[in-house]
Amino acid sequence: MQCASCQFENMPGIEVCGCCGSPLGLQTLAIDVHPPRAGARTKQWRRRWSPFRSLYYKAREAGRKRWLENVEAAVLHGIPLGILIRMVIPGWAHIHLGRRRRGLLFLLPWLGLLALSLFFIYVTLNTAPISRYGGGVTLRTFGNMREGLSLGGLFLGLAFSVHFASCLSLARLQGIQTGEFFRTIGIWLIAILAVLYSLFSMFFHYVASPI
Amino acid sequence: MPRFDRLELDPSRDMPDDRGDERAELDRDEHYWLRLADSERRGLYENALRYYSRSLELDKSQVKGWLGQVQMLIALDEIVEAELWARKALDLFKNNGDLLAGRAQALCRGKDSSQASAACDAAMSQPNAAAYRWQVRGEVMIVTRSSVDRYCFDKAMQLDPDWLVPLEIAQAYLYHGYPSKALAYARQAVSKGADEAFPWYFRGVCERELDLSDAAVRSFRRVVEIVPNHTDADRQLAELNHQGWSLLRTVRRLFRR
Repeated sequence: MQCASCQFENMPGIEVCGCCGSPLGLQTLAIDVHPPRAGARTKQWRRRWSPFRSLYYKAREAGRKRWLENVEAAVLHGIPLGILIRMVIPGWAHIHLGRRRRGLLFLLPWLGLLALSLFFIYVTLNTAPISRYGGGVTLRTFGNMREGLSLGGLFLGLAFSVHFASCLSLARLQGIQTGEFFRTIGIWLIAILAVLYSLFSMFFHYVASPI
Repeated sequence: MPRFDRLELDPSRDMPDDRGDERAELDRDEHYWLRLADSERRGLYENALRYYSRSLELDKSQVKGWLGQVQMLIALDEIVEAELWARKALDLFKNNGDLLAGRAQALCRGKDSSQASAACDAAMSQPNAAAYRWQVRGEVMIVTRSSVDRYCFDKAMQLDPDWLVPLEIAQAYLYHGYPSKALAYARQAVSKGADEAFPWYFRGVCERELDLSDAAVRSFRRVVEIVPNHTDADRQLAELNHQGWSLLRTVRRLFRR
């Protein structure tokens, strides 16, 4: 029995072609041979939306190429997705991987630096009215308001450094060299952390601002 | 002497029955409907689609019928339906090169270039690459803005010298917004099939798209000479005779590819 698709000569009694897998008994199959049709209005509607569809596919293509491929390349370079997610808190991924001491070495200073940052921002913002009248905690402790705020920013920057160092250490643990790390996800990570710490700063200012 | 030679039977009564038998036999012949569809696909796409369906009613195992349906749906600008139908046909004829090419063309017309490229690559990897597959490859190259589209189309025309191939290439160019390139291939189609109405008609369409009004009028008049009651050509001629100067058309001409 000859296959209609690939012309392979099959043994009699076989239902599916041994070469290409097409069904051989097509004559006995109950299939509708009349294709679905589109109405004139549907065609007109589709023609109108055609440029947008093209834009959608282009955006999807660009997105797949630039963003997803970079993330996928990072995953392919040996960092699994679970580790990538745990990088949000420094030391968490280390502890997860069984490096408890190193994890705590990153986690505790990071928490301390964040607390210091919040403290200085809080103190500066809440004692500013006193300093305006020539007295108060801020003036006595740190000189002026600007100095107090910049100390808060400095500690937040140090926390950022600890966070980035923990990510770098994690990459080294996964067998990725420093140069390769910067080529693959380093730049993206710096950008994400910058956004994250800007949000931290805004949050601290919101928490510390006087009611 | 044959036994019934001397019987007095009315020959005029037998004739319609014979013709009826012949007609009934033709109605049962799927190849007859395929031939009819192939002759009608030169412009009369609705009829061709109907004939392809008729041939498939008689024999579902004809890949040519399924492929013809997909191609006609594409020609009728029913892209979503064509893609769906190509997938259905591919369920029956797995990895058939021509059907894969049909699906690639539908995806290509639907602007999904990445899926179209994948389907086209799959089609080309199948043995016995025919003209249609090269033609579709060229169309995918137009969409992906690759410079090798011309090479693919040359290959298609080499494999099939029929005028329908350059005409379909011209249609592809026009669909994707390159009327000047489309006109070059429409001219080739006219040179190959000068006595056919459809290449002249399509050449006129390309010329009209490029605002070459005088040339378009000449082409449509030639269509009317070949087929006196060509409705579309008559309509185009009437529109060309009544059109005046338009600012929008002038601006469009400046940005034409």
